Amino acid sequence: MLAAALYALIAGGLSFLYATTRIFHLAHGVVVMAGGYAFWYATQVLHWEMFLAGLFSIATAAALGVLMNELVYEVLRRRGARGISYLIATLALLLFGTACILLLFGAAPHTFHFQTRSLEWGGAYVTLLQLWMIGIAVILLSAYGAIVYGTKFGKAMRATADNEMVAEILGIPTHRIRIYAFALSSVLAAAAGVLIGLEFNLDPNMGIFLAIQGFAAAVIGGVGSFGGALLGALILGGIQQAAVWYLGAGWRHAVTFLLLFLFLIFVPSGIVRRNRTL
Amino acid sequence: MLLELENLSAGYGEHQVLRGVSLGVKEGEMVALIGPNGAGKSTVLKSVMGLATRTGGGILFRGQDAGRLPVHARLEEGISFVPQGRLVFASLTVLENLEMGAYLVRSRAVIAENRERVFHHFPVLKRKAKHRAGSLSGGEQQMLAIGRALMTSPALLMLDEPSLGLSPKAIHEVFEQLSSLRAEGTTLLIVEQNVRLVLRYAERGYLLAAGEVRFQGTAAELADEKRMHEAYLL
Repeated sequence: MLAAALYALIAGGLSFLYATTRIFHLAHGVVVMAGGYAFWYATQVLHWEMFLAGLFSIATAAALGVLMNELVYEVLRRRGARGISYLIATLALLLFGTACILLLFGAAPHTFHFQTRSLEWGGAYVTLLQLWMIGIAVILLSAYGAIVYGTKFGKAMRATADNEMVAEILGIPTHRIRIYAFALSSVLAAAAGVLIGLEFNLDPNMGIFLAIQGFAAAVIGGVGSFGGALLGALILGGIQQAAVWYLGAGWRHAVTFLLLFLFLIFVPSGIVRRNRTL
Repeated sequence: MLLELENLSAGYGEHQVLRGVSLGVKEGEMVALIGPNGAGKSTVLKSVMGLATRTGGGILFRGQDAGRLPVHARLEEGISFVPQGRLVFASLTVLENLEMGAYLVRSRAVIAENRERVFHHFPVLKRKAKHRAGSLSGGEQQMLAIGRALMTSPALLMLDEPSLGLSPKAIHEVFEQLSSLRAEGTTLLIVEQNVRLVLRYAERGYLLAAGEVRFQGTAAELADEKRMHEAYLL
């Protein structure tokens, strides 16, 4: 359930960016980690309040996301690059960012020292923190769904993704729209990063792993759909738990890839098909 | 004159397409821009919209210099452009496409009024308002692209090859509505490969070849076969 909330936030960010920019931003995994490390730094080194540290984490992630777009994707866009160039660029960013985090914070996992209460619920223990995480994930994703499909700004984002030239002819400020899209998706990333830090430990290499999990959840659910991201994350999280329980911990990632392959081959558009109806 | 091009030279980056084009469009007119492939017809429209690089000459709209304005300012001045290829936002609904056409319009009343006007001209768009634009037929998509361009209440509507790839029935419907828009006071500048078709509706036109105006005259003069042959062969 907890892993599912996390995957949902990451898959939601990826889906959001895909729906608004047509970029499959795998380097999002690094943005997640940057948000987590920023939160760690603010609370554990600077001893800031949780709330303030959360804002710091969001600001860091948003700045990083926007910077990645400006320095890499916009340059590619101006040169008329195709899909494959973006894919290579985003993979490079993912590896480069991971290496930067490794340099800045070292390879040792970073831990938080927080106390939280546990609740017993039908024989299962749930911490208050975990409930918060799930609640925040659901609220954030619903809010983003409402922005993208319900507001003029969200429609302009999708219009820009559909056809940038036409969007410009209609007076839509396409570049500014993409900047906002990256900033907003990075807020989701920061939330995911903070949740990881609080519940697990921060490890520089997690970014790559998270990008893959988010990608898998997005593909399973249907790329570009928030309900789909949530559903895909639930399915992925559930199946991983089942695999760990019945087959052993080593199967967690094997199951992810198996599921990813099966969906890519048999249901490439995912469970929720955004492009059918609205 | 609503639109005047004075010795306009323009292109894309280093590549020059127009070499001193002068033409004028009066208020309420429907003017055709014809000529062989690569003559620069599309570039004329793109220059007026601000999508091509102007290297010389002037673009006057209502007598004011518009050549340096950014795209959105030209829209606000009353210029609209329907590019070639029925470019609708495929993943957005018909209604959302129209809403995007009115991106720069702030007044809800004006948006609603313009939407009704679009629905009046193209009733099929009203019936399919909630459909995704990608699911429409070619003709319906072209009508949506035109409707979307009408959402800013333009004084000048420019269309690039509106008949391209449409069925004869859809072509007829589109041109009948363009003609009706003109009757309501919208000025039209139309680039069209289908010369016979556009000259049935437009009263005047310019023949472009190799980035220059080769001939200008009434529809009847332009329809003269001998003259057309000369221009296309030159």
